[in-house]
Amino acid sequence: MTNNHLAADLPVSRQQDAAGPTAKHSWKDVAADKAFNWSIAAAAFFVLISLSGAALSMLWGGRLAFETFGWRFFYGTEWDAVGKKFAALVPIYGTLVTSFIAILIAVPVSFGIAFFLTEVAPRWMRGPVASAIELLAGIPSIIYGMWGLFVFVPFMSDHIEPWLDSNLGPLPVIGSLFQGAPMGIGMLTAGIILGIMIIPFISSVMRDVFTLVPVTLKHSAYALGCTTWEVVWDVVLPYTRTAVVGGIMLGLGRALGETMAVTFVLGNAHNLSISLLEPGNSIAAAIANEFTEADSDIYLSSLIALGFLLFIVTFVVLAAAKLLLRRLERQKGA
Amino acid sequence: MINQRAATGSAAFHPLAGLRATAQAASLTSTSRDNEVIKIEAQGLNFFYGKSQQLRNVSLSIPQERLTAIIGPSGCGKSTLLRMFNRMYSIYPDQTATGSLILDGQNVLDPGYPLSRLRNAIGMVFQKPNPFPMSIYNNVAYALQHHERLSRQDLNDRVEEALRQAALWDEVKDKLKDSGLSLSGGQQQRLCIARAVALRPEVILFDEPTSALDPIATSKIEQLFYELKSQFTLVVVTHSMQQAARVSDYIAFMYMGELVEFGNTVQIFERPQDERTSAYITGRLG
Amino acid sequence: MRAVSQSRFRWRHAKNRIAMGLSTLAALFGLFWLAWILLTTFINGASAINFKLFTEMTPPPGDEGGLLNAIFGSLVMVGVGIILGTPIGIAAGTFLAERARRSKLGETIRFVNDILLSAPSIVIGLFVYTLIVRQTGHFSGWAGGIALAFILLPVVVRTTDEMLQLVPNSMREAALALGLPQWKLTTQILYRAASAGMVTGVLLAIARISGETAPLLFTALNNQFWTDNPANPMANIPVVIFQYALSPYDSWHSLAWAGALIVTIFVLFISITSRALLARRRHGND
Repeated sequence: MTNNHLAADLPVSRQQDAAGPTAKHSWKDVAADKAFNWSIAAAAFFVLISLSGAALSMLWGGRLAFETFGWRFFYGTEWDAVGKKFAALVPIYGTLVTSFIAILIAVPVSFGIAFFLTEVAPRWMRGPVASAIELLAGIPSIIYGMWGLFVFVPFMSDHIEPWLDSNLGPLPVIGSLFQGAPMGIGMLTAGIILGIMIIPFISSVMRDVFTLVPVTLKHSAYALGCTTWEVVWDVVLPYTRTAVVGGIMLGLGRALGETMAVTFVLGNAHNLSISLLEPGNSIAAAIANEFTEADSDIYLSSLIALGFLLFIVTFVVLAAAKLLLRRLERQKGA
Repeated sequence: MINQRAATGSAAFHPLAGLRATAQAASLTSTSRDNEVIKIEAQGLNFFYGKSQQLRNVSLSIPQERLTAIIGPSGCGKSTLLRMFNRMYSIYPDQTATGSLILDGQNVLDPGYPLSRLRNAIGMVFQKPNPFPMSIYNNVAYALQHHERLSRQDLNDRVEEALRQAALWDEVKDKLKDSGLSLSGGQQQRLCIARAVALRPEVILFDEPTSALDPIATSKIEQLFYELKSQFTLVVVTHSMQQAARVSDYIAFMYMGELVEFGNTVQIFERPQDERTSAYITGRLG
Repeated sequence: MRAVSQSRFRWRHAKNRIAMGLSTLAALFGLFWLAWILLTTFINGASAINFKLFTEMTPPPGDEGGLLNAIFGSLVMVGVGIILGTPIGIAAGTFLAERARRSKLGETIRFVNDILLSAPSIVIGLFVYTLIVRQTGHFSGWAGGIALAFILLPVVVRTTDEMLQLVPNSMREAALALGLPQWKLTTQILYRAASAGMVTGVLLAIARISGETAPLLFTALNNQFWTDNPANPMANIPVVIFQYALSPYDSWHSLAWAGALIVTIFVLFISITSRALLARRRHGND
């Protein structure tokens, strides 16, 4: 649909007009718009392929490990750089345990914070407290790691862990979780730090969804004589259940992949132990600690294979979170 | 203008009588209604929103340098019809149209007719004032600079001319660098008119231009219509029959996607040919 | 009967009190960690801050020195990240908001972008390692900057998309009705209307990449010496903190604390001011 084509179709008297400055301009505009549209589409496509690019590049980098060790890579416990035998169970276990501890801490605290910010706190206090909690998410993870190593680890080994060891250690069943030398470094400490890190993510999602509950719904519950707590527990929480679970998954996704905060305090030990006070490892920490030391192709490939594993797990968790949160976003948009 | 005001006052007592008087008063100001020059010839317009048809076989002739009002109950397709004149619908992929709109001998609905040229020839003012987030001066100059290569001096002259035509110059001449968003609602709407006028279009479309404004700002815009139609062909969609009676020379009455009646304003109000038209103007419809 | 309902009433209200008390404790719990972490960083960092930090290079084990090369390297790599990531992010966000608002393709890209937004940064590091470091055969500042660009990208995409969607459609129609082309409408009117939010998005993304460590470990690595060539491995504050904090030397520890303080102040300053900026803009527009 260029100007030339148009001009040819016109009666003679209009041709001069059509060839004027405006018409010429419009041909340029059409071309410029086409170029513009193509370039923004290319950028969007770039976003699309970069995710699959990340997955494929790690699958490619890890293929040597997958080929060499097969399924054993997932359930074996050996990690032997000299003997060149690698398997991922210890870091997988450490990742899951620390993330589980983090969720155990972060979910009730985040719920409490969201409850506080939406129902309990006086209005003037809500904004500043919410911003302060969100600052926790702004602190770089390396700061958490350093603070953990120099401040929190000694605190744990001096005050918390000896108490756990002597009071909970002798108990049947759960006692084995809390036995061991109180070194401060270990899965419990890492889990607690992770929990603190993901509190702002979970609490901000919870707060957002709680404020989306229709006011009339809450008011009718209050009119029936419900207390504030009953309104939140029996009306608000059931109403927002899906999105709350989505927010928790989002936090879980963060915890699974967090690297620097746990690398400092986990101890980088490739042994499988029941006790939470023992040093352990996680997928992300193993990669961060050992990547630049990897001196053989199979070592490097094993670490990249670990990365691929982490990617797949976080992808599944985050995708689930996203799907659960989608309903919330629709409500927001409406 | 004084006639008009008096007529509007009496409309409070008897709607139809008031409207008739208003229409007669308005007709005094327009001239030679018999040999009009036709500016736009619309033939067999159909409009589809997805699969549902919003306009059915609409044909009408818009006379040059007159104000044609399109009226009808909400949802009748009056805005849809207006937005066909500059192919505004084409930015939405699920909206399609058929038929022809002949402007100066060419069908502007032909996809080969350059949009840029069409929109240079046919300007548009919207329901809500929507100045660009830039200075008052740039609001007027921006599109002008895109369409024409002008010297600084010529550009200044054209901006001043447009702001004068929109009766805004005296209010803003000392603060041309201020943001367009700093103006009041009525001033913003006149800025939007200046922005459209600056391109020296042949036709200006108004989509309920005063529905977001207070009565004083509304009357300023209505006064402006009188001055503008000496140079431009105006097509105004309005939901207010009073306004149509006050300002228009011709009226197109739309109902459920069809053009029921088209004629000069006095005739529509005094001798409506169609039962639905008389039902609407006496308030029994919509 | 009455006594039973009385005691039940009391129990319900006691439960309410306990819950409200616990929720206040939860908020205090969150604030407690924030205060503890920030205080430790400020106290340890402040005692390690001195003039030499900005004039001397990172020292060999056990020696005194500064962070000049690391500060410079961080600035270079964050700069590379911004320069590469921002235009692509803005373009992709524009595509989502202006071309794919409700389409399947748009939803897919938004989904993928949100995954990228929360994906572990160490995974991005591995990706860029296999993409660049392995291909070129050595660690480099360029690779570090590219890794940071991948982390900045999804933040910018998302805020651009959201902010452009907030611009009312009437702005687009107004510009198109004046015959302006799409690219001018987008780059000169919509970006201007959405500028406050878009700038905040970029600033928040900068705050995020400034403290990132994991993706730099296997891309930029570290460099004890001065280099202004990003084709070499480059020192940067996060990786220096990581290596020095895990070392047994006190002088390295205090440099790590100084680095931690610099990064924390920088990151918090950017995120707080950008939020305040956005809040004030929003407030001003209402």
